[in-house]
Amino acid sequence: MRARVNLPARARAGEVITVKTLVAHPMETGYARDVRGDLVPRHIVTEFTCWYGGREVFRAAFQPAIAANPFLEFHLRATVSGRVTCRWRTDRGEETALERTIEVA
Amino acid sequence: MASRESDIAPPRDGFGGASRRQVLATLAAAPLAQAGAAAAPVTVELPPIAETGNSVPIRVSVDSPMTDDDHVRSIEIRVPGNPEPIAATYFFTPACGVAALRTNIRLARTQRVTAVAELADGRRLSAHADVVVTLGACVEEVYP
Repeated sequence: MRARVNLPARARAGEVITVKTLVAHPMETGYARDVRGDLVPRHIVTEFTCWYGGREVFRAAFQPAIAANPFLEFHLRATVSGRVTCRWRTDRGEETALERTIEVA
Repeated sequence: MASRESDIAPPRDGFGGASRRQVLATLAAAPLAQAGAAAAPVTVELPPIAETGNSVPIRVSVDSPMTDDDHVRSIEIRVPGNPEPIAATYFFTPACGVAALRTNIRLARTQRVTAVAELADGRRLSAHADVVVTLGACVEEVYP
């Protein structure tokens, strides 16, 4: 799974920043049929987590109603310089993680 | 990455094997706080008309100070017109600063989309938006 995470490189302490994430995934619902009329088995990203400052700060649980190539925007309050780690997991156990650093002044 | 135990409650695993009818009955039975005009801190933004249900942008925000004592614990997006009536659940912590999110959802048909926010004190608040879907996400074949 290819993923992207976008957040500001620098922020003031206490500032609320926007984190934009995107992961390449078909999000097969298990309801759609292929050209032969067979059901395409379900294959979705089920879990997203974001760690910052050594803690899990945000999490999401996805169902099939999340569109393909899940986009998710949320917010964090900038408190310490360091890593922001985003991780996606699918219902088949596949995992992708992406790390960004933020400098807090 | 630190392998510290998470403070966040583990997400509910959908509704397991429950049928659509059972899930809807459960949702209907769960009372929601009636938000008055003065206190309507939940906002759901959706386009009024979606040409296709495959990817519909949605924004949900909750007016909350996001302090340790008073914050939004979770936001659930409900899509009762879909085969599976919950689109996603988002779990927040005070470290988020703001309880808001933006994403794209699938809609099988014209329906009312509801966001339910659970606060730190256990209160639940909701808001909804109606969306007309011209062409639903392709689930018609197996639609009950």
